Amino acid sequence: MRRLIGLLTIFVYAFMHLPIIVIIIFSFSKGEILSLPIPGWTLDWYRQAINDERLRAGLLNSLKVATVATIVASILGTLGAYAVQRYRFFGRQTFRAAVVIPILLPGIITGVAMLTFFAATDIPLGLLTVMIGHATFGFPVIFNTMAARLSRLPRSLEEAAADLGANPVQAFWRVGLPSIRTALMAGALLAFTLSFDEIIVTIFLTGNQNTLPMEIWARLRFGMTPEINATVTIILLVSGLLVVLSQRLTRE
Amino acid sequence: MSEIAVHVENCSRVFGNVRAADRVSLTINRGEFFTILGASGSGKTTTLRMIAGFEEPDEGRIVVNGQDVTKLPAYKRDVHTVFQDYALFPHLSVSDNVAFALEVKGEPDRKRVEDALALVQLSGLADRRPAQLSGGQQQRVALARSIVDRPSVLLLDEPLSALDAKIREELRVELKRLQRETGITFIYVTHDQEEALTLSDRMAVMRRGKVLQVGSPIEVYEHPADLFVAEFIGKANFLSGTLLDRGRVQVGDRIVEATPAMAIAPGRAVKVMIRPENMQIQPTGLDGRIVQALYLGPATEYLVRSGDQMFRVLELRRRGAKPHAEGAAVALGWKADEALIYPA
Repeated sequence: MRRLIGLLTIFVYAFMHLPIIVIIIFSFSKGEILSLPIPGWTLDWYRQAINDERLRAGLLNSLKVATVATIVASILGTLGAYAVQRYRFFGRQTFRAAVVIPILLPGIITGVAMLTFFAATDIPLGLLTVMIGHATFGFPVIFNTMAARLSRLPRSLEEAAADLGANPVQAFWRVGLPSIRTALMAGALLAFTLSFDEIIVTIFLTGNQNTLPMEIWARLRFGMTPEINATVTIILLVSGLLVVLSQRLTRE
Repeated sequence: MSEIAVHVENCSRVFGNVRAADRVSLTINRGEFFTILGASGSGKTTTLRMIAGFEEPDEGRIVVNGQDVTKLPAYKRDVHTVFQDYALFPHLSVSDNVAFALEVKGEPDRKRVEDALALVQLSGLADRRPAQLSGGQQQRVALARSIVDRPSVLLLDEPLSALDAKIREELRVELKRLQRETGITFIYVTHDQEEALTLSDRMAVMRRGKVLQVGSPIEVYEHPADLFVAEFIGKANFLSGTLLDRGRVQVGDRIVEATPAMAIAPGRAVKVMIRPENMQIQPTGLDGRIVQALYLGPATEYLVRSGDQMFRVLELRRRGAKPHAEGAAVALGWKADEALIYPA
């Protein structure tokens, strides 16, 4: 019985991760096509990927989008969580539920909805619209981590700061922010990662500038190249690190 | 400056349909150790929070040092609070916690921080984080933090309730010393009557949002304002009866001599209150039988049944005197001026 469960576990892991492992292995392979046996090992594909102009442009765009979207989402998410945790106002519960919708909505719906909106308001598509789109699903991510942290934060800390003479701004910088800093960083890292490899919303909202996932996707039409394997492996490594870091911070 | 540190004038605070504080009026003198005593829900913490500025009274005024602060936010008041859960800033070291009030004022001063830490005997722990300290040490840091810039008034919200009995007693002595040495007006909220009696210069007893009595511990203990206060502070025996005339009460078929605690019309139903230490076991008097004798060391407490009522009698140990045995038939007596009559 135990052996059976062990076997099943391995099978499930293989099912989920084997494709990824294959890509990682082939990114180091000398062969031009995915085939076994592996003819030999090389780092050439990584060199090529790093020197590829369009991949670099895509990476830069992705970083721009993810950074701006994360900053916008961080500010809105923090303020929203703060409002919901600290104040009682009309529509509070509804707001709380509504905030989470952008994560649950399929990207295609967000994409179509925002495209329609931008078209109707004559806002030209480009990186800016992609940033706005990504901020909409980054916002609930940050809102949730912040709301969870704030709910565990004793109210007396803020009161103590005010009590000792700190005005609201001082209280926020000296006590409020330091107490929520790790949660904010965790949320921001997660939002950044989500934005960085997002593709569906991006397809709808971008102009002629490609993000990295879009560039990769575009190339796939001409087949899987080892260069792409190398790029994907790098992305995998970086997002993996960010997610692990984010979880570490949440646990604090 | 005036001699009055804090004046709470007819302050009420309503939460939903509960009047947490109901026309509370208190006058606290400068340099006084003032205690607000009450059970949970009595309004003592709400009153404290109104003085601190965390709650705004729905009616009434708060005056600190002669200045009306009713509408003033907490950070502009010359009042600091020691919180029940300490509320130390977890990301700051002990000395940075203590320095906080000076830092936000823009007058950092290492010397004053060191002095405050020395005052609470924590000089060696300046670089620790709050999480590395014991409960008692954390409470000392909280104290140092709130006296470092010498506020004129310090509010303490059940500061000892989260601590072990032994540390509680230690800190109690220290609180009193700290108050004497700094001369800061302390307003101390507690549900522990022993703390209130031992620490206070004066105290207020609260119940259901109302102040029942204000006075020195001796006044409150020996002349409680009503039956609730009598029973809440210390132990008390009660006899039910009818007031005949000034100083005489018909209890069953006996006439008992006692002292009216206030003006009461003859013929009214009353209760006579006698403290256990004011009851004596003597040759004649109210007949009863000892149900239980509790040897307390310096004293013995007897539970005496008389008719269908139980009495507590506290007898100090006298040299050579043998405690009365359980089951012994005894008679109880008291002095008329130590038995107080209240309307029932």
